[in-house]
Amino acid sequence: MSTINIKEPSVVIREKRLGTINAFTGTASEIVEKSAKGELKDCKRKFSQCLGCNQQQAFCQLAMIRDAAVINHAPIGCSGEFADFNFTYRVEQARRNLPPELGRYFSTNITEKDTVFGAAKKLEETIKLAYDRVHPNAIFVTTSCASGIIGEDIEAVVEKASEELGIPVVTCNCEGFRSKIWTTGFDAAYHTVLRGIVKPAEKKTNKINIINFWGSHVFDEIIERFGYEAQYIVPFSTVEQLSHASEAAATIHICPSLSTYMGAGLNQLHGVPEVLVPPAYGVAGTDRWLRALGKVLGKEDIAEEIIKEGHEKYVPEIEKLKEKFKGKRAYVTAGAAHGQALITLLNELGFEVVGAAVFHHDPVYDSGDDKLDILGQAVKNYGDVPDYRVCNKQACELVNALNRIKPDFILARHGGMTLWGAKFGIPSLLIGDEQFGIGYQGALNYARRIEDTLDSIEFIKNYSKHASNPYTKWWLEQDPGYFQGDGSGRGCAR
Amino acid sequence: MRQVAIYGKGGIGKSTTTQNLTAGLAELGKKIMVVGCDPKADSTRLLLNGLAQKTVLDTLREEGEVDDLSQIEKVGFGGIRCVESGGPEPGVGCAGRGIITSIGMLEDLGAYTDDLDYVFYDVLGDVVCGGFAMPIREGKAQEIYIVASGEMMALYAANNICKGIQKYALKGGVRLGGIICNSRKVDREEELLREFAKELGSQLIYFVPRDNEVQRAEINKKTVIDHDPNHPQAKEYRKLAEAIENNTQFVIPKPMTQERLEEILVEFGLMESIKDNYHI
Amino acid sequence: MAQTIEQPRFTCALGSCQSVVAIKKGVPILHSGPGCGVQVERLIGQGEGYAGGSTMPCTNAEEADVVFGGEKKLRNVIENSFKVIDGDLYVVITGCTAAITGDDVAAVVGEFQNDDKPIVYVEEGGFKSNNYVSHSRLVKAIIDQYVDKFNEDREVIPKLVNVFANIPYQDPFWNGNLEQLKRILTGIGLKVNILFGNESEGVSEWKSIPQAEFNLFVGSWAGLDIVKHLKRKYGTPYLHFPYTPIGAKETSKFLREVGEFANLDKDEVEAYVDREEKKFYTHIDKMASFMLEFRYGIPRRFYSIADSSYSLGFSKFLLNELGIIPGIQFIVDDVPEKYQEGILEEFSKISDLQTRTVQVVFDPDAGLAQKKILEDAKDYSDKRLLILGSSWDKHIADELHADLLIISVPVQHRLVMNCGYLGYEGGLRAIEDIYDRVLATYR
Repeated sequence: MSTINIKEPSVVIREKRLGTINAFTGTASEIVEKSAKGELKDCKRKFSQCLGCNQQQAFCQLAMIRDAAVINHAPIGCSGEFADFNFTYRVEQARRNLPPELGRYFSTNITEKDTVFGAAKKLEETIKLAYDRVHPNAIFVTTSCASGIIGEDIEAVVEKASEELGIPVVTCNCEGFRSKIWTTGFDAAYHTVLRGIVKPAEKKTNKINIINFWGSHVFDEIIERFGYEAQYIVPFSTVEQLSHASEAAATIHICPSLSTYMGAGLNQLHGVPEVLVPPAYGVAGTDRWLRALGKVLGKEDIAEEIIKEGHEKYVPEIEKLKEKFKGKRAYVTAGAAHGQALITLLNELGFEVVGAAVFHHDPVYDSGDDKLDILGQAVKNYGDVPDYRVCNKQACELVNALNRIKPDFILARHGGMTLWGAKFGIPSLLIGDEQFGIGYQGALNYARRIEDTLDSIEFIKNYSKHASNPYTKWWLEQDPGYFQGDGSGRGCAR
Repeated sequence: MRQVAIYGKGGIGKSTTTQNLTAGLAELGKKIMVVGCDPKADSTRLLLNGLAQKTVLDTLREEGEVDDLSQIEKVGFGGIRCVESGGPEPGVGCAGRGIITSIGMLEDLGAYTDDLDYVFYDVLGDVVCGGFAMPIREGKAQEIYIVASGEMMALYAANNICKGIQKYALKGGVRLGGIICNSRKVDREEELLREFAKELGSQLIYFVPRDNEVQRAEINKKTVIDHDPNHPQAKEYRKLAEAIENNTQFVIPKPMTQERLEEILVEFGLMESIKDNYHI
Repeated sequence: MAQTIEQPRFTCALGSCQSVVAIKKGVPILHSGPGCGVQVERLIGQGEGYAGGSTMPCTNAEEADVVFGGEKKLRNVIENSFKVIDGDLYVVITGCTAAITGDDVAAVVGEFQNDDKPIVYVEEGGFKSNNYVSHSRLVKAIIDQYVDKFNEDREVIPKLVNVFANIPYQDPFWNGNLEQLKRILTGIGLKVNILFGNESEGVSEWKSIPQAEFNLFVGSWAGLDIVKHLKRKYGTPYLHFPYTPIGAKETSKFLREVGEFANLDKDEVEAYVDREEKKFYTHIDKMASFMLEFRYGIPRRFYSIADSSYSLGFSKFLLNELGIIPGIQFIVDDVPEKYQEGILEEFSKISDLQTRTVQVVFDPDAGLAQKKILEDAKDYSDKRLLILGSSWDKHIADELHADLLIISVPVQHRLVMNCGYLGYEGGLRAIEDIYDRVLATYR
């Protein structure tokens, strides 16, 4: 279990805190075993392609706090994603019946001069400008490679600004080079929120924190049945609401990779218990989840009620659809926890999961509890996944693996990967909404969508005839893990 | 055009030596440009007789662009063209990046004219990041001289700098031209420096004796040759200039281990006397 | 360069990697932090292209690389890029990490250049400039390090012209626009090296750059130094047309100027111009009634938050071909001071019939531009307004009940494939798109 220390301005990176790795070639059971024994070792790559950086993940959590502004202390390039998040923000506002607002994001636009002489003054001025334009209730300052290398003392600037403006002005230290694991960005954002926004509980409420991205509100009804109220954080909260996150009765993780730090933080610092159970994917998974929630809230009987109803309502149709999936070989590519949850789901639907390419692997979460070991349980309940690789989003490794394995179906949970399935003529599915697959309804949702995807193959087959392929013949003949480790072709961590 | 970089421990006398040496070369009729690569911007004070030099980076900061060489290049003693990179104040920004930016600017402005015989780079003592190695990248300085004295720390620093030089020398054309001793009147200093240079595979190219005339000239914001051309110290600098002009020995240095360096120091009895009066 | 920016409409110097993606089988290699490629693609990407986006090799700098230098890693990535990705031209671009710590990229790439590999480097650093400026640096680097080396032939090929115009991906309609440019220049009898996009042959065009009879730069400023560089290097003369020509009037003007500069047969040029103009004005003729008489309101005044080439091009087009009056033009491509006067002069000439003053604001802080538009629009509440901008501006367009034509990044409310607004066909397309949006607002 890691200790959450909010006195430090920067969050401890995942590699150090959890032993997270981003390269592995082997089977699922191997990685589970090594994780349990603490033997998991990371390794470098002799060739790599663009990743994502933790600044982007940090931004995604801070960008939709409704009455806050975000300042990116960086050259203008680091704000490339502002517009995309603004788009999501506005679409989701409409779905929540909120009035249309622009995301208020600013860049200090660090230039060459600033790298030589320092940009602290510019940051000061930008904070003031953002305050005057937006009148936010909080300002977050994210950092960049450029600001990090020149060693800017941003803490001093924000502390002074906080005092002067009377609102929290908090840094989020998330320089791209800080961590090899970009999900450290989530941790950095939550660290910022815990440090600067969440206040000690004045009372306890009947709210349940659901730490999520900006997915649909699938938990509302269920939580109400238990006599509680669902509170989705961090996006779409206000600063005021977030400050009361400490008063909740419990915290739910929709994806432990995302929220491990926040859940543990709220628990350690404010006594909000975490519901430690793998996310509710698949029927069996949902049963388990409901029981765990029931236990935490002391309402096991309600859990059993909901389970019974769910089985009656959904299982028959799911069973019917399972017929279509029998004997089909599936491949999963996704972030860590979500990917593992999807493996569980696919197994339950009757697919043979022949391989997975996940982006990183957390051997343990901040709570230190192995109840969240999704993969371990998947392996125990459904059997091994023979080609389980941690590919760190390296497209070349994924393409290579797909070329060898040629699955019947690819399920993705991270943008940019289904493209490669399509280029090989393999039906591929990506669902954007992170909460889409949750619960009994979620299992049915996925089953239906997968059925559709397997049916509509004309486009994919046609496209694959004309798709461009930049990879050389030589590469496709190598082992996908060729560049991991010493580059001798043996991969690493075998 | 010969491009020469001068390295050495901070405070050892690089700027003093460079300016006095270039004064000597100017007397030989050479056309020279001196580029200061130190945020302190004090590499050309003696050549310009103390004129406050507007640095490249200051100009960039204040005016946003540098359009013309004349904004940043001033001509000093003996027609020597002087440029100071400048940089941030201590504790802020990134000086290494500053050097990269400013040398890039000199290239863009066409400062490297064909008529130049020499370009000298006077580089900050502690070469702490890639930026300070900018002057020895391919296409810039091909020869390096390290200024040292008989003090242990000066030799330690010189040896360390050779590690960096070796890296660039192995893949490019830059070479070590020799060690210049800026005497601190340490016992058996000249022998020690000769041995040290030999161990590196190089040479002690010149031994500049210590003389208060150097300080007197400095206070008057001049080089020795400018201040008192007939003083014996002026002759020393002229001889140093000749040594550089006629140098043919350029090597890839072989930096030594800490143990070997200490052996050499002991051999020349320095370690004995350190016990009694050790100070850096 | 500017200070704080809200709502960025361009990206950092590293954005020139997209120009490499725009060259057939071009492979950018980034020596930078891990997020840079994705950040660029999110703002100015249109899918991955051949080897862009997540396919781009990148050294993904970590803390260790920053402290100890990243040259070894770079060498590995370059070496293996040749093995893994099938490309015709590889371009190494440095990001902030390598630029600040001072990695000697020239030396590393030099090793491969000595082996005659088709590889080029550009030392940038995101903070060094923006992608308007770095695009030129990239093109010059390819010319200096690749073209020079792989083609020593300097014999001039008659009627061959190198075209430098809209910046790939930064202009969302770059592909369509370059297609149109090639079409009309070929139409008047020239052989065109369009260099980027679908209509280009790829690196073979690049290699023939030194043999062109003349160079053509179409745009207000970002790219002018490329043609100047080529003049210094090969003595090739150049023509600068200072904005994007949209619609018949401007395109004909453009072609006549080019024709004269290139000493083309005047009759042939006129014949082509004539044919195209006839086609164009037949359509205008058809819809003139609509434009004059539509009962429910069509735009009468427009604002733009755009780059200088489009702002000028559209101002001339909208005024002269559609009768929409230009309001404040917010120019957000961070135009260097020395080019601003030239642009203002072009604005002063937008009408042949009377002196019109167009209010022009040079400031990349688009958040401020939006604020000013909302203020200014209060004076025109009786007119239906048109905004030329980006997806950021949907917000104020909705508030003002104005029509929005997206002509700048970020583009999220439309899908761009081969749409181009340059030229005769581009002008017609622009008219369709504008009134498409207008009419879609009616129930």
